Formats: sequence, C-alpha cells, structure tokens
Amino acid sequence: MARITYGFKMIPHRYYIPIMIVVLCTLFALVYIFGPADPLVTHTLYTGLLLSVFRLFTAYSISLVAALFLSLLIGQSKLGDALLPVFDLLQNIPSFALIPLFIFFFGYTNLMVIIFAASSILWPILFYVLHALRTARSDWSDAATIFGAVGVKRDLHYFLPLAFSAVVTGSIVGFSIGWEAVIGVEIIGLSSGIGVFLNQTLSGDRTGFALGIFLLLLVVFVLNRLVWMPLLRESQLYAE
Amino acid sequence: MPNNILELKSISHSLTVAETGKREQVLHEISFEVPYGEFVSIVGPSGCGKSTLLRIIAGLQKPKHGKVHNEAKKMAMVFQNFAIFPWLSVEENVEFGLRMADIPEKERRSKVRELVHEVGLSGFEGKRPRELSGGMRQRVGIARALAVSPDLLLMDEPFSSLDEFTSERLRDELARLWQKYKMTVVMVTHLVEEAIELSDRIIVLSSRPGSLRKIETVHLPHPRQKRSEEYFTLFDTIVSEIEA
Repeated sequence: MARITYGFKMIPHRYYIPIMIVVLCTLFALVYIFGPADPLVTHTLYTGLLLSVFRLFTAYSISLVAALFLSLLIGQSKLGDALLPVFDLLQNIPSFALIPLFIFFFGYTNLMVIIFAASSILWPILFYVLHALRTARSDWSDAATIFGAVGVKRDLHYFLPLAFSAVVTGSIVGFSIGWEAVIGVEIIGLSSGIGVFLNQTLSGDRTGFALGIFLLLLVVFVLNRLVWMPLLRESQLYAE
Repeated sequence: MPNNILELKSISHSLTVAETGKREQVLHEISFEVPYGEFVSIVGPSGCGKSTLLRIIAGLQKPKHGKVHNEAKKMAMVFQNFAIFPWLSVEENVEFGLRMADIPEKERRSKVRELVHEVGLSGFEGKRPRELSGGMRQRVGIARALAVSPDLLLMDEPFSSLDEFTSERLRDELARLWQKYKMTVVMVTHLVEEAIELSDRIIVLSSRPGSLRKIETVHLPHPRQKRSEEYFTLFDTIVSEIEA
C-alpha cells in the first residue's frame, strides 16, 4: 500500500499493480507471437506506441508542473482576477490552428509534438485547479494562516491537498486531449509514433491497423485502471 | 510584563458591500483591553462586525484605523464552521499546527493522543471529517487549537452550527478546558446565554457600525447557575443594551 503523505492510499490492494502488469504483458506477448507475419510491422507498432506514450507523458509532466506553478502563483491573489480572462481567451484558440507556429519554431521534431501537446493539456488542469483554489472556503485559508502554514509549507500542506481533486479531474481531461494532440500531430507530419503507424496501415495493412487500435486502447485502459481510477477514488476522500 | 495580552485602540473598519460596490463602515472606534487569562465574549446583533473584529484581532484583516497590540506568543482559533481540513484525518487535523511549527514527530504524536483523548475522540483518530458529526468536528477544531498550547484562543461563534444539546455539552467542556489550560479566550457569539455562562467579561457592541456599548463584568461563580436570579438580571441588562 503506497503511503505518500497523510495516509494517501493510491492502490486499492497489494496485488493490483502486478495483476495489471501481467495482463498487459500477456496481451502484448500474444500480439507479438500471433500478430502480423512481418516482424517489422510489429516492431514499428511497438516502438511507435512507446514513442507516443513517452511524448504524452513528457507533455503531461510539463503541463502539470506549469499548471501547478501558475495556480500557486495566482490562485488566491488579485493577479488571478486579471489573468483569468487572458487564460480563458488563450485556451479558446483551437490548438491545431497553432500547429504552423509550433512547426515554425521547433520544426518537425519530437520537441514540437511534446510542446504542442503540453500546450493543450495545460488548460484543463490549470482551470480546474484555479477554480478549486478560488472557490475554496475562506475559513480553511484562515485556519491555515492561523496555524502557521506560510510559504512553502502553505503550498505543500494547504494548496496542494486543496487542489488534489481538481488536479486529478483536470489531468483525466487533459490526458485525453493530450492523446488527440500527440496522435494528430504525428499523423500530420512526423515519421514515427502510433499516429504515423495508424495512418500508414489504414490504407494497406488492415490487420496492423486493427492491432494498433487494439494496443492503443489497451494502454488507455490500463492507464485508466492503474492511475486515474485509484486517484479519482482517493480524490473523493478529499471532499467535505 | 504588561497586564494585558490584548489591547485594541480606536479600531474602525469598513468593507465593500458586494451588491452595491459601496464601502460601508462596520466598526467604529472600538477600544478595550483583555488581561492575561481572562475569558472575554463579544456579543452584539447580527451584522455588527463581531467576526470582523475577531479577524482583526487574529491579524487576518488589517483595520482601516486604530491599532491592535497583541502580546500573545501563540494564538489559535476555533471557527464557526469548524474549518477542519477534509483531506486530513482527525489526528492529522489536530497535529496541523504542530507540524507547521516543526515540532518533532514523537512530541507531536504524544500531544495529539493526549488532546484527542481530552476532547473525547479516542477511537476516531483515523476518521476523516466527513465521517464525523458536527459536534465531533468542532471537538477536532478545539483540539487543533489547544494542540499549539495557545496563550490566546480566539473563537468565532464556535457553537452556533451545533444543535442545542451538543452545544451545551461542548460549552461545559470548553469551560473545563479553559480552567485546565489557563489561556486567554476571546469568543464572539450572538447568544447572550453562552456569553454569560462562560465569560469573565462581556463586551457589548451596538448594531452596524458596531461600536462599544458596554463592558459587563460577570461576577457569577463557576459553574454558572443558569436559572439563578442574578443570571437573569444580567441577561436582561445585556439584551436591553443590545436592543437599545
């Protein structure tokens, strides 16, 4: 049982992770053994999927850090009143419309996909967290102040727990937006990734395409069961 | 060492009314002192600025005019709606102020155990606030405040969210804890009975803008007999001051 802080229980029971890993490995092995006759296809599929997952996780990590940093900076200050409309305007710009701008600055590179995806994932996390901080009961903030939660201690022991549920909800929404962003950009102009694989196999190798979709769904399902559902369950305990 | 833990000098304050956007004076020229170890209640009609005054005393709000001399080395507060953190268990809530003060874990644990027992929450240490009744939540709030060993305890209508039975039991417990821990208490309440039952002195505020109408000293012995003639006389005096 993972005990991170304040009795935080992320995993429902001790065999949860091993069981999910075994299921995942078995399915991947079955695809590898009984999949397309051409091992190159399977290899491209696996490396593509891994690369896309890597891009997504890196983008998510950047977004999470940026969203938390911005939220802590302006969450309960008057600066937030001025910046919120600006953020609202920015998040309403369709992200794919900005792709030429990202390509202009970063070219058709790994970094471009990551930065582009991060710029899409950021908004739901930021808005959920800002909403949580700005609508929190004022007496909680007073209590935190009275009992000495200032500076970094306030961030760690008051703001972050207060924002936890919002971080989880925002992350779930952000992650699905992130998948779209990563796969979309890969299809548009990259040479590797699950998006490229799906795009290439759709016109010829239907088995490869089906396998690609199957493995993609499997990764999404496992992430959901292994990460988001336990976090969502935990976040409910944070509610009043 | 000065005799007073708290001195308020000509405190005036105004707030912006959300509906109209206009500033309205809520407190006008309030001055009083609170000696060490005294239990003082602030009473007044609804909206007279009692809670604002307490927030000013706590340092959570700056007054527009006037000064607060607060000699307290450690201050704690008990809130009307408990303000205990829903993400923490009972013992983690009680421990909060000690954790912020970097008290070593062993010392923290022992203090928390003692206080959880003191407020009658043994067996509920691991529970989250949402699993507790209102009375139990306020006990957590009181234990959290006592944990930091405050020399000044501020209480903002601490029993007004509770039913009468629970409120009465908690008042008795508060009186016992006050005598045991010997801290100074400043309590805001709109219930005159509550103020008479617990206080050494009662500060009566007028309606908005709240100004000091009278400071009434309570000479009744503890535990207070709520059906005595003196009790009713004092009650009538204070109520007539508020209504005047």
